[in-house]
Amino acid sequence: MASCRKHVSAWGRNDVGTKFKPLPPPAPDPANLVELVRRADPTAPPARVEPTVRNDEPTTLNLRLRMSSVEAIGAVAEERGMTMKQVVTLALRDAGVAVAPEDLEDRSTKRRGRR
Amino acid sequence: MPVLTLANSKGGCGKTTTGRMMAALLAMEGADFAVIDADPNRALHRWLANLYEGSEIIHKAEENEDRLAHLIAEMRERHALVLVDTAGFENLGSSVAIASADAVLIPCMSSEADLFETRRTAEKVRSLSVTTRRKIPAYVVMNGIRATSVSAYAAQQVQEAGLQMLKTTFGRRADFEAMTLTGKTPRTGEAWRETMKLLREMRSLGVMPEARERVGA
Repeated sequence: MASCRKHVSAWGRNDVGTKFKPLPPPAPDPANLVELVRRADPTAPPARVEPTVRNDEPTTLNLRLRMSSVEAIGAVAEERGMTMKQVVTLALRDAGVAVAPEDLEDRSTKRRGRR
Repeated sequence: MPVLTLANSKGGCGKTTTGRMMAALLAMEGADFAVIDADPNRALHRWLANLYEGSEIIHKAEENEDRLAHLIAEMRERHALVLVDTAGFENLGSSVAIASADAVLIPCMSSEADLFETRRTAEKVRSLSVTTRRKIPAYVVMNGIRATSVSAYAAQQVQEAGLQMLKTTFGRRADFEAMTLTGKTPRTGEAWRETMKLLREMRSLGVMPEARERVGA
């Protein structure tokens, strides 16, 4: 009840002689409150999902293709003056796949040699 | 000191509109209060920052549940009243705002979705009351009321669900919409009268401090 008296005093209603209704006791401290809410409501999502900064490290994708397919990709690469990887990634990008911009560049040793 | 949270997991039921009117009229009274917008859309915060014309209103926007809990705690120490507007969908920020509240105001319009989500929100308030071991009263305020059997039926449904409904109701008022674009607060008319009635009713329920002038009188 001590907390109710505190609220009453803060509102200054005693000055006008108004009859009070007690307020609920104060909410738990913020850190505990969030923990309690998370436990009570484990499926509730955050109002806004914070963007996560991911380290977009290079990795490998191995494709098992027919020899003729590999030769066709190689021929197009030769014709366009780009790497086979570029032929594939540019085609994927044109098909709507979110390919990282770095994967669209010529990063072959040949290119590095040209620098 | 008290925290009044506007909540309903149904969007478009009038949480922000009610908050906007309450804030504007409290500012006219010279009340010591702050507004926190916990809705990621930040409609109330944006309005207060860019369009509102009137006495200064302290307002913050925060949707992250951890930071929101701390912000509410900080604001309740500084001001006689904290108004928290929440998002119209179930989320942790809204739950934190409800669990921090001394009272929850649930605007509700006359549709099945409104009635369904109003009951869910009231149930959420009850559940968080149990979790935090404190009674958090919830009051439903009917919004967009027209003198039709639909509105009467919706009000009856709220009462039959055992929810505490305020005597104050809000009609469909052009002023509510106009003020979102003009930034001006109605000083006469039904929108003003209804909001004044809401403030009086909330005060009579003991969940809002009296106007400054009255305390000093």
